[in-house]
Amino acid sequence: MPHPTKILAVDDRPENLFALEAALTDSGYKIIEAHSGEEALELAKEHDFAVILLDVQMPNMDGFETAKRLRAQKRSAVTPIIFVTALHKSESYEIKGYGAGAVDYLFKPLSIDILKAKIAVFVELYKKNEENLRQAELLKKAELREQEIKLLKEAVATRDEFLAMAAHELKTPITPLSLQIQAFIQMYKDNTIEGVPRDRLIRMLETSNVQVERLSKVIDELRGVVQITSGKLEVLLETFDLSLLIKDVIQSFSGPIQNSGSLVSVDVPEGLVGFWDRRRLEQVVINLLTNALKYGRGQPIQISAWKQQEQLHLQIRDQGIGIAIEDQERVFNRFERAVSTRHYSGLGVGLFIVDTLVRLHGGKIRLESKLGEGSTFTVELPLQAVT
Amino acid sequence: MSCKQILIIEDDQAICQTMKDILEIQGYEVSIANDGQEGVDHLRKILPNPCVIVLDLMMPKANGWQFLDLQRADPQFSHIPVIVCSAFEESAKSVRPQAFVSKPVQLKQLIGAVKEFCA
Repeated sequence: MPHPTKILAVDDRPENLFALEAALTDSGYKIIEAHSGEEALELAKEHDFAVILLDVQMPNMDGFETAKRLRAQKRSAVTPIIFVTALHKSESYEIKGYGAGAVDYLFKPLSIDILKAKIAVFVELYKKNEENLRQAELLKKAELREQEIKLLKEAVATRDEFLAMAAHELKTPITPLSLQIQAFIQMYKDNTIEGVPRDRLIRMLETSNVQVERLSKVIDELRGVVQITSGKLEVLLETFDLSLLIKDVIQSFSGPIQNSGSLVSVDVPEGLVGFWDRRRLEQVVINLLTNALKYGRGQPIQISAWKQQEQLHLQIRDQGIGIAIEDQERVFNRFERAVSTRHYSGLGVGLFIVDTLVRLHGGKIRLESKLGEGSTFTVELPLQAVT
Repeated sequence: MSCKQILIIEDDQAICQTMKDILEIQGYEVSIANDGQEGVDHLRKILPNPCVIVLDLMMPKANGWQFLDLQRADPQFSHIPVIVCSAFEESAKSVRPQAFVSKPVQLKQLIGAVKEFCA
């Protein structure tokens, strides 16, 4: 054992303490001395003792009082106390001692053999108890570690799944893109390109362009996740009108909106001026709109924004597939989505990014949704970003 | 007998459209189905039957394996050769298709495989 077993010896007379120490000197215990009840109480707060040898007759605080108080202190509440007394054995005296918390008695003049034997018993008990505590602690540590390992393994599995999905999303556009390029090379080599209608050639090149956009979108999403998880998210606050930003985003999405078949209605008055990060909020609007188009089943989508007290509310409502109640919290987690990846492409990080960016402004996002009936996302932002 | 009909069964729109463009430029007539079920429906409803089927394996609803089960069980269509087009070579070969084209697709490989069955 690295720490020697400690024993507290309490006596107002130095010569008694000296005698005790001499008797126990080769037993390997560390004897700590206290010259009064008060001193004993202080020491018992600082150390764990295997046993306390307590003189009964001391000025000021006697042994009985000291024992009572030791019992009341947390650290010494169950430490065995042996009263050492020169008083003649009297039953009432002993009973008083046991009542005060003594577990044994030693009578002066001390018999060294009895002293050693009694102390040895308590030290043995103490060591066993310590060993039990140590085992319990080890067990608890092992359990905690196991729990930690389980969580880490889950995190690694989630990340691997994400990487596999990202690889799939990156690879899928490569087939059409590479086929188009090969086809053009072949047509030029064979001199057959002249015979191909112009419309078809343009459409083929447009398809290629869409594939490049698909690829860069996946890369943007990956970068977004990396930025957020590495904590390198800077905020550049400026004063601007969010209504103009929303309208710009919708304009730039005219192609995807048309393809989705959803009718997008916009109820956003001008003058929604606040102090925010323009690029981050643009990302928020884009991600929410992209989701509404993706999961909206071609049904109408409403975008509205308004000021309410010192808050800006932005709401995007679709009438699409909706999100089951049990999935509603999960969709804001990284790499999570409520539906299968085969039916809906993407990395499943869009809402995680939205949630992070909104929080970055000191705002929050709410989701109301019913499976099969659609989803409503409401962003609440303070007019002055609280970062 | 010359046959020009090709059926592509593939869930990715861009891949379908690109293959269709390329094969049409080569003079083939190309139809598209977006999953295995659509593929079977197409065989049952639209005549004449294709002289070859280009099949993806991983698709929603009925996937490529399910399509093959249905097609091979039906004596009306079981003779139609299938070119499996997949990124997973081992899975693709395990279904013993008449031909295999790996993804990302090489143009010459695709056209070569199609030519073999559409003389």
